[in-house]
Amino acid sequence: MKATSRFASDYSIQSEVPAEYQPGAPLDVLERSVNRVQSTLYSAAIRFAHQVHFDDELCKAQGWNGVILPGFLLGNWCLEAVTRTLGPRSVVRSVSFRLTSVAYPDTLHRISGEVVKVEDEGEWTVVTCTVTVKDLSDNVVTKATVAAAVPNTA
Amino acid sequence: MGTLLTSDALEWIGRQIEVNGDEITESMVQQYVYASEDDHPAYVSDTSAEAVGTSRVVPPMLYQAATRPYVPLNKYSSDGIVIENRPVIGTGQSVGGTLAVEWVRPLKIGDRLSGLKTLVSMEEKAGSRRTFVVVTWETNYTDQKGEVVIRESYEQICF
Repeated sequence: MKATSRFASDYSIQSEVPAEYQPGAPLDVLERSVNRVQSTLYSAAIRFAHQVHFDDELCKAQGWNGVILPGFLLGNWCLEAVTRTLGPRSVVRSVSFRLTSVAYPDTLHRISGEVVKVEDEGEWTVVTCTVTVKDLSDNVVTKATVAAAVPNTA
Repeated sequence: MGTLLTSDALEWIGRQIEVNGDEITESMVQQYVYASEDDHPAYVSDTSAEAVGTSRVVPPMLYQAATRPYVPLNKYSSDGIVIENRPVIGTGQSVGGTLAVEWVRPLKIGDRLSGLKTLVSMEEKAGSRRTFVVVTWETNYTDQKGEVVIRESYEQICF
């Protein structure tokens, strides 16, 4: 199955925190579906050899449908949803994410969230967001809190 | 003590593992950008970063590779985890739990991270499907100058 990747927004569009980014403002929705090739390449990129990302039989013995996606990739989607919304000068400060269910290759996932806090640090505005990753059945597979900073200067 | 938290397992509390990572290279960054499809201009190239008026930085989650030095194959368990990085609990298997990371500064190409992973706690819990143990590791990673650049708390769910 072909992997799909549909960017909800383009990094080049925004260069500063828009005035509307106040608590409650939604993030641009990001959609992601990766195939097993991409999942394998991602595991290689972080040097992670856990067989739950490669071995169907091992996973089925755990009661899962088959291999599962690397949790770090799901965490990265949460960072990406925030930085794509805040624009190309945004810098990730922190993340805390928890996998609440397994996520599978070749499944469309929707990453959404909202701003929960905006802080002025002088040269930077720090935007904290809550983010969720859901599959097509609306199961939440990851919950995250992400903080990213955007420079206040043009 | 629960059924999974044996005395052998509990002896892991306080265990420390020294991590000496590899230098972050352009090749590692390109591999990560392609695999993740996160084409933030600050990650992709010096040119793309400059074009949007920002500095080149490394994709934040790439620190995972930068703090996972290669080890000989005999150091891996049969399910692909480096043996010294996971206590033997229950079936010996695990999945990832909560990961909390703070980047004190963005990472740059050329950074080399090191740290001392400490197993700070183990807590047995009853889930809907099975009993498991939450194993928590905490690590401060420093750069080549000895300055802390990442603070990490990572949970392993062992069962």
